[in-house]
Order: sequence, then structure tokens, then C-alpha cells
Amino acid sequence: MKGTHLGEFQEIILLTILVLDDDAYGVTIKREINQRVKRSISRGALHTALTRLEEKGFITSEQAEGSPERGGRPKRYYTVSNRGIEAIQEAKALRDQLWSQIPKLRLQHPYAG
Amino acid sequence: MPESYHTPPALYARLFRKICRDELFEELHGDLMEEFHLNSEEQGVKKARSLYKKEVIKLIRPSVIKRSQKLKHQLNNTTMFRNYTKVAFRSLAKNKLFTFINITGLAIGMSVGLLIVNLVFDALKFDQFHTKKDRIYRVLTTPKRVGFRWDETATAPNLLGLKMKEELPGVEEVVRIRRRFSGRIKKEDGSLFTQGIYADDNFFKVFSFDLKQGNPTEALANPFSIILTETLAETLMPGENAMGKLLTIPDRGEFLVTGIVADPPVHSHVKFDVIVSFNTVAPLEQQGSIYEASTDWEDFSSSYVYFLLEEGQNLENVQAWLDKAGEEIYEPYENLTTTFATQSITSIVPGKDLNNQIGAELIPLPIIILGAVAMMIVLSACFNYTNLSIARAMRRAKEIGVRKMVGSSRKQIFNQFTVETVMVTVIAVFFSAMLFAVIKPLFITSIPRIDLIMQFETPPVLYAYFLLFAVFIGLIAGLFPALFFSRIKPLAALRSGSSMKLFSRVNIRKALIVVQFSISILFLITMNVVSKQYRYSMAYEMGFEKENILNITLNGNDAQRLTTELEKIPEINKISASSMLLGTGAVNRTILKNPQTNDSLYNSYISATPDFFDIHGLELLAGEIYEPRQPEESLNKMVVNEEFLRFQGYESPQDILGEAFYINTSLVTVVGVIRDFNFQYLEEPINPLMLFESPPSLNFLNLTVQGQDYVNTIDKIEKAWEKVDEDAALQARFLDAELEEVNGFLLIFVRVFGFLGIVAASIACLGLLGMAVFNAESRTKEIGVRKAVGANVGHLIMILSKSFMKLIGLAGVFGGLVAYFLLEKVVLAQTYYHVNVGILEVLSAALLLFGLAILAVGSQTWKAARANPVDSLRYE
Repeated sequence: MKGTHLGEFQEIILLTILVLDDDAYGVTIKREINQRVKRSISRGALHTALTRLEEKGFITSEQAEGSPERGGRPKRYYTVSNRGIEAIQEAKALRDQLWSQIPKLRLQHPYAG
Repeated sequence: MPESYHTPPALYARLFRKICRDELFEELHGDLMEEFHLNSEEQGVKKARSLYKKEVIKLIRPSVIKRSQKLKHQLNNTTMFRNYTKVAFRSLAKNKLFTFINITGLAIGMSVGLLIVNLVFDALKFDQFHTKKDRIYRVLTTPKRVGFRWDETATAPNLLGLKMKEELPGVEEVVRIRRRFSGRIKKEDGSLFTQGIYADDNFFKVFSFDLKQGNPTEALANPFSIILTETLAETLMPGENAMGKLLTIPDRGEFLVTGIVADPPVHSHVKFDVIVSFNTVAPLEQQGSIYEASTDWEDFSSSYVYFLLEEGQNLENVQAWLDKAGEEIYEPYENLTTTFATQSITSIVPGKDLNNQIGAELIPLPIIILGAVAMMIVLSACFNYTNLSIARAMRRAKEIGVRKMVGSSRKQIFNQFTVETVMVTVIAVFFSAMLFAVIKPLFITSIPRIDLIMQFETPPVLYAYFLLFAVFIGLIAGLFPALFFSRIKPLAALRSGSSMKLFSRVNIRKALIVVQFSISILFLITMNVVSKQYRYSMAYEMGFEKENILNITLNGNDAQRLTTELEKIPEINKISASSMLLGTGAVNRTILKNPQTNDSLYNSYISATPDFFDIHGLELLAGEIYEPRQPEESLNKMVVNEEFLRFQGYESPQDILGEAFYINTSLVTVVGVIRDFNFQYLEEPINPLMLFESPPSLNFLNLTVQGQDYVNTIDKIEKAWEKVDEDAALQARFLDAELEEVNGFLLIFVRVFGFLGIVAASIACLGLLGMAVFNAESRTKEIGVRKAVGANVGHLIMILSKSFMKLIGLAGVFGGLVAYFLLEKVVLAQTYYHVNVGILEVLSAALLLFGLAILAVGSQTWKAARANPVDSLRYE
């Protein structure tokens, strides 16, 4: 098993899957990220990231029936596992903690220093 | 829009089908299709198709594409490599003798290789420190005079530099440098002898010498400005800042210190203690303290012209301009045409052989020869490896058979043996690095003065190269065995090891042994012949007296003053002054013009006081020797040698007496003729020579010393010297010692080739030893049978060593022939007076090698032949 570190891209994917709830499969995840994060990603890059996340146990997947526009090919739906939720919460907590420790002055005058 | 049009590009779809893993294809392609449909609705079909293409291309990544059969093997490689190393270690540990022979041979061979790598690395560093090195060039000159040998010189007429400054476009800067500034700088207590160059004020714009103090653009602008090196400034005025001080140099003038420059790096082809502004040349010439050359288009030896090409400019334009200029300038000159060429600063050292080099010289030939020789030795060590590996093939055949049976491919077997070889060479390179550390200082000390041009640093990056070198050598050495082993047929190998036709490579092995021994014998013969040449040169009757003549280098001191002091010493018999030391090679030449034929040419001359003839025992054939020249008298008398009159077309010595020739501008009469003698080094035949007295060029005093108490005499001479020169130490040497040093390069040759010969011979003998061991082992049974039916030990030794001895005999003939032609036609031909390759030199080298080989083979065959046949027959 690979390490459990959560990369920035992987974090975005986890969050996107959570946002999409029941409807998270390749095409939707990709489109959601393209629209919301304004970042053009390829299906290939997405595939690699999803594989990694699955290896780490952060997501699980399930095959389902395909639709006609897919030529009847099956889809693979992704859901975030409990470990995955833990991981993003941990990441968030870490950030929040860091944010809270920034001196106020810095935040008011971000370019002062 | 018809439904059928909504299809993604067929080619890309097919490609994707082909490369995508089966288990992923369905869903991934489903996604791609769905997206394609969405895209074609939103952005149009054309855009969707191009997006599809991009997606497919981007899906070509390891987590998506199929793992082919081949790829599966490669992924398995790490495991297999681990296995290979393990097996290799076991096999090396099992065959200790072979491992020892291979590693020792390779270590010795590679240490020589490393030395050469280091040497080449060092030689390539020359002049790399100039930041504009890619654009700096020097003008080379080839003056072609009728009736005179044409040599390309590094120098160029000073006037050409001026003309280039004024007329040549596309060149940023032109710097003139005049060589041989010398003088004694006065200091508080005494004076200091310094040498340096004259240079134009844009010197620092072109060259990257580090000016510590002073203005780089102004420092060399005014006449009588001088820049000192840090070392010189420190010795001249310890603890003081020399900037702005006035320095007095007798016969030259008062110089203002306008800069302090860091000492020129070792890897600079120009070296100096001082740089004097070029504008000082004209006043000094007027003063008469240096010879006048700066206004003469026929002066080809005093100055250098460097130029900085403008960025983006083409060198061809400069060359075209130089070609045209050369034609125009020398049009009015009779019997003289001149061509100019250019040379990049980075190709000066190592670079071609030129006359009048300004500093370090290093022609590439010796480096190439050394490189080739080192390569031969390293290859010889590789041959050992190859030979022994193949000889051992029988033992490894079963292993390979099994490997192949369980599914090893040929490529894998190949890899296995390559890994094994590379391992051996990498182990060997560690040992060779240690050996290298030992031989490097030996090498440096065995070549005098090499430290002046070489730093011989071994930067850490070089060790990385060494490792690369080892891997490379491993690949070469392992190539053949690996190919050989990978080709073994498993069935044959497993059925019966001994019945295999593994010895089909016997001829190649034999050829390799012959090559190894030929190389060894070549080196040994070279060593023998060169040492013969050395003995010959030392014993050669040069035609002048060598014994008991002590030469003192004047270093700019006044010859007359020192002579007066020395005359007070009773042990000194005679004193003369001269411009050169006989037989040491350095000869001066000047323009000589025959007034009758109006032919001018360069002729060798020696400037000497009359006693010079007597001291050196030069025999007068006709006429007389000139009288000591009085200060007010102009140059008007000279003595010539026999070759001179032959060259000028006179029959007998009497005929030329009273004839007059122009030397530069003075009309000089021949008053005497002396017998020919070898005034130059033995490389040159005896050339036409003139002797006359010209006080400015007297650089040495020659003394004959009486009595046996040299130590005491030298002591007295030192005292006399101290009265004239307080700080520089006396430089005095006997002529025979000087000549010995001149021939010393031959000794270096002997040492280097002796060393290489021993290295090559020991590698070859190690290989032979290995082969003999193997041979004796594989014939154990045969020997047992022979012995059982009555063969005696002597007979068996004959049988076992016969084939080896034949090979070495062949190598002797082959190596001897190569050595003969190489030495006779190439090496010895460089020297006019040389020895020939004699049978003795060849035979002694061959015998030495033969002896070594008998030791190597004999020890093993003796052991095998003496073995009890009962044991031998039970073997295996």
C-alpha cells in the first residue's frame, strides 16, 4: 500500500466526489472539476488520481449499467470511504490550525512585509 | 446532423482499443464516448473530435496501457538483477584465481587509463578561463622566403596588428603583444630580474586576467606604464602597496606601476611577471635598448596579434581580409610572400607545432599516442577477461542450460553476464583508483617541468568519470563472453558438458594472446631502442669540448663586469661569453644577405667572444679568429663553419676568406673558417653557422675550471657573482650536465615505455597464467592417461606448453616487426643522428617476455605433469 498522504489534486477530487454525491463517475467528476476549479484536466490524469485514491483506500468504486450515449458501456461510480472523509477532515483541520496561527497584522497587510 | 457522424476519430479509437488494458477499456471508453457526445452537442463535432484525440493521447500512461509480455519481463528485472549479482558474487568467490587475475589485470590496466584520462582532462583546461574564449583568435604567419624552410609562426608583424585595428571590420578589439620584456628592477637592496610582455591598452578587454588594482582600460595606455603580478609586487615591496610607485629598470627607464594583476593561471598559454604598455616599445627602440622591429613588415618574430571577433561575426571574413592583406603588403618584397591564418585561443594548447610560441606548448600527438597506448593496455586487460571467461564456459554451461530450460531468454543470459563483467570492472576500478594515487606522483616527478603546464588536479567529478569509464570497460570486456554464453544450446549443455563444441572459439583466444604479447614486446623494444639512442646521443662526438666547462647564466647582468670579477679567481683558466650553449638546441637566427646574389635568408648564428673557440676546442681550418670587439667598433668580422661555405657555394676555406655578407644592415667580412661541429641538438643536421661578437646577445659566460677542488672554486665564483648580483642566486652548470639534461627527454621516454612495457607484460602474463591453469585442469585426465602409459615429466611439459610457446613466438615476430617499422620510420626518423633498431634490442625484449611466459606456463604445467596419475584419472 502506498503512503496515505493526500495531494492537492487528490483532495479536490475527493471533495468533488462528495459534492456529486450519487452521481460521481468519470465524466461528471471531470466536468465538475473543469467548471468549478477552472482547471482543464484530462481523463488520463483523472484516471491515475482515482487509481491512487482507491489504492490508498480513500474511495471505493462500483460498476453500474451504461447509458445509450456510451454505447451501453458500463460506468464506474465512486464513493468516498470513511477513511477518505477522515483524510480530508484531517487536511482541513491542519489548514485551519495553520490559518489560526497567522499573526493578524500579516493578514491585514498581506504585502506589508 | 446524421447520427453516424457522431463518431469519434476512428484511428484514435482503434489506437485506444489497442493500447488500453482490457479490464479498463469498457469504462474508460464509455467515459470518452459520453464526453464526446456531450462535447459535440455543446461545442460542435469538430472541436469534440479534436478533444477526443487529445484525451486518447493523454491516456497513454503506465496505469492505463497494456503490459506486454516483453514489458512484464522488464518489470521483473530488478529481481533478476539481484539474482545476477548474487550468482556473480558466488561465481567470483568460487574461482578465486580467475577473479584475482581479472581484477588485478583490470586494475593495473585501468590505473594507466585513469592517468591518461586525468592528463587529457588537464590538457583540455588550457585557456578555458577567458570569458570571451569563443571569440578570441590569434594571427599566425607563414613567411615564405625563397631558399628557406617555411615554418608557421605564432607571431605576426606588429604592423599587421595596427593595420587590423584601422581597417578590419567585424573585429571588436585587436591586441598586440610583444614578447621578451626583461630587465632588472631596482629595489632598496639590489635588483630583481623580471620577464614579461608588452601589451596594448585593451589587453584586459580581451583576456580575463584578474586585474586586482588599477583601471583595466587606462593601466596600459601611457608609455612606461607597468603592471606587476601579485607575487612580484610582494617580493619587490613586501607589505607595501606597489600601486603608483616608480620603478627603475637600468637600460630601460623609469616605469610607473599602474596595476596589480593576479598571477596568470597555470592553464594560461601566456605567462608573465610584468605587463608593460605597448606604447613603451617605440621609445625603447629609439633608445636602442631593444632591437627595432615594430616598423618592419619583415619582422616575424617579436610580436603577437590577438583579436576579439564581434559577436555574430564570421571568421571567414577576417580570413579573407588577411589573405588579401598578405598579398598586398608583400607585393613589393622580392623573394618573400607571406600568408596569414587564424587560431582560436582554445586551440593553442594543445595545438599545432608552431615557431615562436609565447609560452606553454603541447602538441596533441604525444597525448594521442599516450591515449592509444593506454587504450591498448586497457584492452589487453579486457582480453584477459574475455579469454578466461570463455575458457571457463564449460563450467558455466550447465548453469546456463538450466536457466534456459526454466525460461531464460537469450537476452537475459546476455544481461546476466554483462552484469557480472561490469561488477568485476567496478570492483577493479576501486583498486585502480588506489594504484592511480600511487603512480600519479611518480609520473609527475618523472617528467621534469611538467608542473609548469599541468596542475594535475583530480577534481571529484573526475572520479565520476572513472566510474563511467569502468562501466564502459565492463561493457567492452563483457560483450563477447555475454554473446557467447547467451548462444549456448541448453540441450547440448545439459546432456554432457564435455562433449560440447565450446572450443570453437579457440582461434579467437589465441589471437587475443598474440595481440597482448605483441603489445608488450612492442613497448619493451621501444624502451630498449630509445635507451640505446640515449646512450648514443650521450657518447656522440659532437666536435667540441664538453668536459670542464662551467656555464653561468647571466640573467641580464653585465658580462664584462662579471668577467672582471671572475678573472681574479686563479682556478679559472679562460672566460668567454656566448649567446647560447653548444648542443642544447636553442639556436638564434638572423637575416643574412649575400651582396653578390642579393639573396637573403635566415642563418643560424652564435654570438661569442674570441675565447669561446679555444674553450670549446673548435678547430680553425683557415684564416683567423676575430679580435675582441671594441665598444665603438661596429660588427664587421665573423667566423663561419664548413657547411656555410658549402651552402654559399665556395669550394675551399681559403676562397671565402675576405668575402663580405650583410647581417641585418652591417657588412661583415669572413675572417676564419672552422671545422663543422654539432652546435645544435642531434635532431638537426649541421647547418650553416656564423660566429661573431654581438654584446647585447651575450647570455652566458663559459669558464674552463682548473684543479679538482670544484666545491671551493664554485664557492669563489658565488662570491664573485654576489658582488654583481645581490639577490638572484648563481645559475651555473657544467656543459656535460646540461647536455645530459637536454637528452633527458629520451630518458623520460625510456621510463614511460619501460613502465608501460612492464604493465602490459604483467597483464599478458597474468592472462597466460590463467589460460595455463585452465588448460592443465581441463586436460587432467589426458595427462593421467599419458603418464600411466609411460610419458615422463619433461615430455608432458612439452606437450602442455608447446601451443603457448608457439603463440608467444608468433607474438615476438609480429610485435618485433611492428616495433621495427614504427621505430625506424616514425620515431627515430625525427632525429637526424640516430641509431638503428638492432637485433640485440629485439632479442633481449623477446627473451625477457619469453622468460616471463615460461614462468607463468611452466609453473602450472609442472604441477600438472608431476601429479600422481591415480589422482588425475579419478578427477571429476
